[in-house]
Amino acid sequence: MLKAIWDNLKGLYSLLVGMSITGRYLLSPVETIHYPRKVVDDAILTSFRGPIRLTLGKKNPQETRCVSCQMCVKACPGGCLTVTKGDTKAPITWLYDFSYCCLCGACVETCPAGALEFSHKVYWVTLTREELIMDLLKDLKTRTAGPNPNPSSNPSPASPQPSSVPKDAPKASPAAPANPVASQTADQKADQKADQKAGPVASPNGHPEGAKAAPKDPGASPNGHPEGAPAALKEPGV
Amino acid sequence: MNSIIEQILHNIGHLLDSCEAFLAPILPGQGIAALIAFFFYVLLLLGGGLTAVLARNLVRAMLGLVITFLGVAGMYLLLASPFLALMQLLIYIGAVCVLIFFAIMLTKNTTDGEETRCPNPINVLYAFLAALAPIVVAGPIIYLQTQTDPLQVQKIPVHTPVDSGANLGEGLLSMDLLPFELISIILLVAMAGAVFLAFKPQRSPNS
Amino acid sequence: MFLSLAVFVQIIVAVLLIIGLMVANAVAMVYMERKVAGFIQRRPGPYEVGPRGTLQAVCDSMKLLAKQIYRPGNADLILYYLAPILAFFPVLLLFLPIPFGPYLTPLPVNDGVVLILAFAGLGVLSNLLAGWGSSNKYSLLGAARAVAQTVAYEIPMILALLAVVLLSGSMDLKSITEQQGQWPWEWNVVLQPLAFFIYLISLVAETNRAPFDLPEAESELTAGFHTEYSGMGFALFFLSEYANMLLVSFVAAVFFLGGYRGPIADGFWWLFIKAYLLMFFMVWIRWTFPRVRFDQLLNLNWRWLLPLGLLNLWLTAIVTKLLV
Repeated sequence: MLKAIWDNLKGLYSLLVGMSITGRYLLSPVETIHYPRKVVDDAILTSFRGPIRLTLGKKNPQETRCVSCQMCVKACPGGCLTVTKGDTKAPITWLYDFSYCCLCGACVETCPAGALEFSHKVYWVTLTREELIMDLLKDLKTRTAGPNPNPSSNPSPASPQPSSVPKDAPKASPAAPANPVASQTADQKADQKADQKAGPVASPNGHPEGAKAAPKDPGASPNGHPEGAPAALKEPGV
Repeated sequence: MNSIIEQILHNIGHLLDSCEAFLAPILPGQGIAALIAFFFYVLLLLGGGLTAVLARNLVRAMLGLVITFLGVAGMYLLLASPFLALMQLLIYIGAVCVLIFFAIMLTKNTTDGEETRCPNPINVLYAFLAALAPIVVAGPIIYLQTQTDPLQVQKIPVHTPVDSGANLGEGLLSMDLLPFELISIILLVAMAGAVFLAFKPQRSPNS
Repeated sequence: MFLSLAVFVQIIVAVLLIIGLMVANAVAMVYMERKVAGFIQRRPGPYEVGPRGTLQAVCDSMKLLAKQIYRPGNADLILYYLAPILAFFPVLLLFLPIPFGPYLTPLPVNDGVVLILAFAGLGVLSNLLAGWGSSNKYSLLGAARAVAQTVAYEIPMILALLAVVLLSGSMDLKSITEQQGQWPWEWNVVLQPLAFFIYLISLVAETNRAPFDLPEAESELTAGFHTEYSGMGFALFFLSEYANMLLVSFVAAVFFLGGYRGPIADGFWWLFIKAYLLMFFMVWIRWTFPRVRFDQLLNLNWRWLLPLGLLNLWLTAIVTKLLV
């Protein structure tokens, strides 16, 4: 009887502890940001599972490591991959239908050559189903070709899409035009520092309380270390 | 023929006068409002009662019962017992009707029960006769009432207490203490009996 | 209960103002609930509509007004349509005996307490009718649970309020308010902390708020007794739930927290401040605690709150009548 009362009092105390926790959360700043006024920086999304992309080749970055073994095609539960073998080991077509993909990662894990990885593509809007079918070989070439290669950019859809790109698009075209320009990795920033064309590509109309969102200061370390990242997430008060 | 009708109308007039006179000492000066309220509550009572008896659906019958209880509460208000009226609402509608609903809900409720079929004509005749029974009993009294001067109606002095709850409490605990305690015992026995009837011993060893 | 013309007009005006209060309260509460829920979950809540999301409730109510009211084919017409109306109007009546200010009681009755308790029973009836009239077994189960819960938690509520009535010697809400002092240490909560605690728990359970919101548990019973209601029917249930919350907060403020009395100036603002603090508290615990299982809920009531309430009443009676 007394034990029951004591247990209940301890339970009541735990209720108060719980309320203090939520009370603390109530008074702390929010963790989410307002899309599309601000976007989450790519560099901190290291564990985000976006659509898959081909990794760079070991000897030649423009060639894929894929050997057309079809293990990923068999492993995929949704059947979204289509790989066609050419005369050599390398594939000639590599199609990925994102409308069937559940981001389970079976293909990434199964690949014996380590040719697949998750990209960090968060902001992607399509208007037709055809836009969701991606040609990953073409994407690999666009990522690694050109004067400003951006190997860690996100894959783009195979079919052309309505352009919703802000003014800095031409500069960032090696990077996938599907991304809002504001999300740039430090590689891109380091690349574009020399060009000085891209101004602070932050939130289009600067938020009044202006915690500077996406643009990290150019003095960020080149490997995209997310020091500036918490600033990127600060929602300027409510 | 005409004179009979005249006589009936005359008597109805007397009846209404005596109703008014009956209510007059309770609510002096507000005769019309009280009369309107009285007839409204009578409407609720009769309507609710008829619904409760004649509805095809058990839950609608229960709704009729709720309306009847609202009418009764109104009658208590007219008798200058607001406390009793509110208690009527609290206990009858708040608890008894809920209990009836649970009984309806937990028992097998078919749509072709006895109440949905057309009633047997002989039963309707019996019901009608039973409804006339109070008139047979109360009729002569009212008739005698109308023969004498309506304003000589026996008046029960009703003092509107400032704190009706206190008066009730005093009465229950001083004058009517024995019935009060007996009622408590009845309630206790009823509760114990309900628990006993419904109790199923649990099979689990650690109960 | 004498109906003179002045009292009649007073009641009519009061009813109109109370309807306005109920609607404004629903709008404010929707906003507060969603914002507080957001902040507790570290997100901003409604932000786009209007400045900082203040017009969100207006948009919601317009949507609810414009939605089609469809009912299940074999729903009982009268019961189905009666239930939301029955949920809404008794709550209106319940606001009448509350003393909003020193001279602002819409309907001064001697038995304010009993009036409030009596008409709360009509709200129970609306749950029943909604559940049965929807001809949906989930609604029926939700209604049965809601009714069992509400009826069960009325008893500790009555006992807690009775303790205060015993202390004040009157059932009139205005005199209970008057007998409390101006400063917080003179309020009834200091004299009756256990009753306040019991009342607080019953408050949350009576209005079917989390963590006691199993009757309308969205994930378990697909919204319980108001599953089959859309548009205006749902809006009425919704409105009456928030009005009920406001009402029990007002009653708690009047009985335990000094009503319209405050340190600086007595007036209706204090009552509103106290009531909204209590409502904020209710929103806070909604987003803190997980839902209580139904048998745990009833156990809590019958095995803990009821004995505690009786004990409190007994102690109060002894102390008030024998020792003082």
